Amino acid sequence: MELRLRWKKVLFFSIVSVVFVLLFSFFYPYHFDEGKLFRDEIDFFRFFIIFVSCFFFSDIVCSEFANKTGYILFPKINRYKLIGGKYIANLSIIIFLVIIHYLTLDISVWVIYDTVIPESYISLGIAIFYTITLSGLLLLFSTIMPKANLTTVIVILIYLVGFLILEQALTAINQEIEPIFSLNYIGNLIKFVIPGGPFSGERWFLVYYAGDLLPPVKVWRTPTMEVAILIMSLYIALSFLFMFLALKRKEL
Amino acid sequence: MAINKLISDNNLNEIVLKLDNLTKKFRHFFAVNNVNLEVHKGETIGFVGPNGAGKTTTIKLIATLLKPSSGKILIKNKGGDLQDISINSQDLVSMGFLIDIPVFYDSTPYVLLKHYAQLHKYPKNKIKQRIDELLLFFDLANWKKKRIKKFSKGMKQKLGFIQAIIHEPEIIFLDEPQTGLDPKARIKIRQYLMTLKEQKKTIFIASHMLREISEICEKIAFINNGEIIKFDRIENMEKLLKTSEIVCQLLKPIPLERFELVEKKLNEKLAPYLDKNIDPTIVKSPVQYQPSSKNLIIYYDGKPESKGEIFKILGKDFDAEFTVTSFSQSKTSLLEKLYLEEIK
Repeated sequence: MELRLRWKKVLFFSIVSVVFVLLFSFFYPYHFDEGKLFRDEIDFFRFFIIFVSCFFFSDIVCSEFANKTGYILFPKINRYKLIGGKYIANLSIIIFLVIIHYLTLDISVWVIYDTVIPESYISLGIAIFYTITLSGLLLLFSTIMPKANLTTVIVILIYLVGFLILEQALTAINQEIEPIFSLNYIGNLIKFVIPGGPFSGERWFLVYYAGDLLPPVKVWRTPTMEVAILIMSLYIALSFLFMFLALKRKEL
Repeated sequence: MAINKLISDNNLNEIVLKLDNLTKKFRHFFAVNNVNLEVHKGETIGFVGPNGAGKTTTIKLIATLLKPSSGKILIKNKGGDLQDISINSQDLVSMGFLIDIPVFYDSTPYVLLKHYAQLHKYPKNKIKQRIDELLLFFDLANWKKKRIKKFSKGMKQKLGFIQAIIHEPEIIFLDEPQTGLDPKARIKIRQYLMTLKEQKKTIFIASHMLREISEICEKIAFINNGEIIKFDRIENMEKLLKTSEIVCQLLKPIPLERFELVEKKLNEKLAPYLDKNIDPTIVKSPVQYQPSSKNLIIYYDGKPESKGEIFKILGKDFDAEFTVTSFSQSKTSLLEKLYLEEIK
């Protein structure tokens, strides 16, 4: 049912995703190898994932309560089953969009550089896991917040502002502490798992903001695979736990 | 704390719904306060009360849209036992709900009704036929594949009613089913409810409309301030008023200057059958005349044989004074009196 209601949006985002990859691959001038092309494109794609996730997940729970469609549905079907079904349907849509995007990008790389990046499949796996993490967070806020728009704004603010401020604050306090709590930082792994270009696997680099006058600042680039998976798993588990508790208490 | 428990006196003694000290509190406000109610299989219950009395909240609690602050809701399960729905809401007998003004996803009636029927596990091979039948009956057949966002409020209400009964539920809960409907649609809903009643479905209707309720329901629960203040069969409620009422429609009006004489003669001739225990605060005289509507209202002792005798006397002894064109017994006005008495 959810797929039937959303098929036009799925079609729209699929076209946008494919067109974006093609435009980026063939018109973006700053890639000098397949790795750089892939990483730069995926960097933009991360925001696409966030935007599309917000679009599809933010109203899963709150729309049933705010729009009162739940009056008809909740007496018919257990609310956990209903929300679970809608979640799986929307997750399938986003995973489909991610796969379409990666496939198009792989084909573009193959056309331009006559090669396939094997690590792109690892990146795809991480991107899917990352999408699940984001979806969990969105589902939690969709349960707590009264409206879908509010859910979207809060999640984007947390992601783009909240995590960045915390990362900066942590850098100011102690540069040696890796900001593994930040989904923004964890998301870097999606692109840095792809080798090539000037990047050869370092997890951090030093920035000399004031030449030799001040000590360099250590900037964390990407977490390890194990840490990223662990943190994302924790986010997923906690999001679903709190979502479950909030949904249990929610009344129409 | 009022306990308003009343066991049904009919022989359909299989309880399908039991509210046991049901209470719902919103901060310091008791929307439903210690409600006790037993509904038996095949009964049609009217749930009547003013705005904010707790009707919708009670239905929402039964539909598990709200959680009770205390008390229990027990509903018959498929095994025939009463089951506390707060512990387990699976395996209950099938129920249909129309709560508030329905809000649908933006799709077509056919797609949504099919989806709802599937959610209820209605036999797949019967779904299409069932949808077609219901849409045809409620004059929505031509709208089967149109977007619901184009529907009027009344059409959405009819669709809301259809979704509540699409799966042929055993118990049907309707919250103000007549809201937004035109007279034709109201008649259709009433007709369908009568059909459901004949099929021995249990129906629970919350409404302000005493006329609709009195025509469909055999029992009424008056609710006010979250408490059930009276729950009984309609005829027993009429007995509480110690009177029954006949409305005679006259062909021509009785001239007012002659009515005093006519009234005296009516009181003499009908004396053995008139209600001698009328409560003067409710009804001033057992014979009343409404010139504007040409209605003669007679309050009698409620016995069926008395009604027959009154009919004979009016035809035989008052031929010169007036001609009766119809002779009816309205439940509504009595209920309205009782309602106003109870919901002060």
